Amino acid sequence: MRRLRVVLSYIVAVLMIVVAVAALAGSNFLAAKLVAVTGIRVSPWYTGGEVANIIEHGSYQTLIHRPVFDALIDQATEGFVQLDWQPLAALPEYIDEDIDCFGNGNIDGHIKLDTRNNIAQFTSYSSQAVSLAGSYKLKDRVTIRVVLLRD
Amino acid sequence: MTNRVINPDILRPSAVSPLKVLLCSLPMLILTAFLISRGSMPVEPLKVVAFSMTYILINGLFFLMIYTGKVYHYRAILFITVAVAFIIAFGANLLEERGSMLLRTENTLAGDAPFCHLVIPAIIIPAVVTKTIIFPGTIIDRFASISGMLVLWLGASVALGRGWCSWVCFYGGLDEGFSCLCRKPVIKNIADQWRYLPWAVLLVVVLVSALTFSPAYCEWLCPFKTVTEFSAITSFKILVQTIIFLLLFISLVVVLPILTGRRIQCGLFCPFAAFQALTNKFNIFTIGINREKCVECKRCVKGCPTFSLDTVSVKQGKPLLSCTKCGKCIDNCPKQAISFRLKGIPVGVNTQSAKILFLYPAFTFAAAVGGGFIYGALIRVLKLITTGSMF
Repeated sequence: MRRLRVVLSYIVAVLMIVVAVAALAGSNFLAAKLVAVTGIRVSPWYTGGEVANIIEHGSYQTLIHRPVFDALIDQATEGFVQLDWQPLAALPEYIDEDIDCFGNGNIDGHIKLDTRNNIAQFTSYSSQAVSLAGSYKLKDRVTIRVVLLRD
Repeated sequence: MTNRVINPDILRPSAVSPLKVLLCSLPMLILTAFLISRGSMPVEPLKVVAFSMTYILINGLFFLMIYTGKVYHYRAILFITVAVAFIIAFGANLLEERGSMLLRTENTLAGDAPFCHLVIPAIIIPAVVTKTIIFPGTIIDRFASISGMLVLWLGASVALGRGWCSWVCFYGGLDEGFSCLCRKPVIKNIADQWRYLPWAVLLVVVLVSALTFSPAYCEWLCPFKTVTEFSAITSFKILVQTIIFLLLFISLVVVLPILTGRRIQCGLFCPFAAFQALTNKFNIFTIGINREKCVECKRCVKGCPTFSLDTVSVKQGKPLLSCTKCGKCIDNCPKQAISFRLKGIPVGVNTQSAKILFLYPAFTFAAAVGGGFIYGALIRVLKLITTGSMF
């Protein structure tokens, strides 16, 4: 029994070298497998969540994400909705749009956005769409977030 | 504070024959060539020089570890070099890509933040419950992607346990570097209770992160924000966070390590370190103390950089769960009573084999992760010297 333990110890120790080489040399493959198996993704608090609606404007489009109230258990009382306008190169100087934050057909607010200097104004039409959290110019799009309150 | 004097023992050969040393070094020569170059050898002269310097440094240190039998000293050189190189390479990459080291909201929306292992304990509960990672990074196919770093961490945790903290972590070298500056510690006695602090920080960080659905340690407590990327100060809250980062860095990574000669951030604060200690439970490699040889001089207890030995653990012949397998106690022991050991094998039996078997995976991770940063930093420095610009 003691001899078996000794042999097993050496086998496991040698296997650790294999583990090290595999983890380093096969990191891309293993990383893809990890994502496929676990289904992990970045929190919607950073990504903005899935796109719920796309409005075409000819040369550019408005992407309205789903409202984000995600929490560990249940939902947070305060959240946000993210809107993207893309592609950046095709955006007009001014954007003037009504927004349906919850995708229920009701207009929750109105956004005026100066795409040249990224200054945005938000007018709320609903008690659930509270205020503008911020407007941001990214490499490929202009993004705003509107603070929302849950029912 | 006095200058360090090189101990002549450090360069004295061990009992291993030169042929054996060469044979042991050969696999590492091949492995490191592949891992540092990431499969494609450089052709530009500047990159060839940077690669050669990195390759020689890393393999030279490995050779000396085997040749002299002293692990700690050469590991520390590599570890400290990696930490400095990481700051140079990481900072230069950020400056090149973003134009600054600031992390703005735009960067978090674009998933631009490189994933860091220190956040791992905080993301586990949200990841298990909601399948989402509470970190503004990218899941896959990018430098320091979330999945890539998780694979690296999982592999290193299986292979090394908390050895991660002395062989792979690219921050720990800062702590270690400052702790080596003062030959005789000014603060010698640190109460044992402080060893529980990392567990308390871990508990708070995990709970707060889960409840707020955000990485609490990154947002409030990480001292290394000071030397990596940090949020642009756009509000009072971020100003407070920045002051906290700065104070923690100065106290835990610079001042206290200098005064105590220990890795205070790694040993008494880092929640990831506490979390990583759990992986020592199942890892095959450990440290063994031969009670027959031990004269209880307590050199190992006084010298352990991460407070992983106390009189009780020495009597039991093993270190505490928090051991990082840095090798300092082994090198410090005047009676050669301490050695690397494989669990399942009695203390003091085949210690040379246990050491070599540990050094291969440990050094492979150190060379791959650290070598990449040294290579990257050298390219930047050589560019700066030859062209006047790092980019």
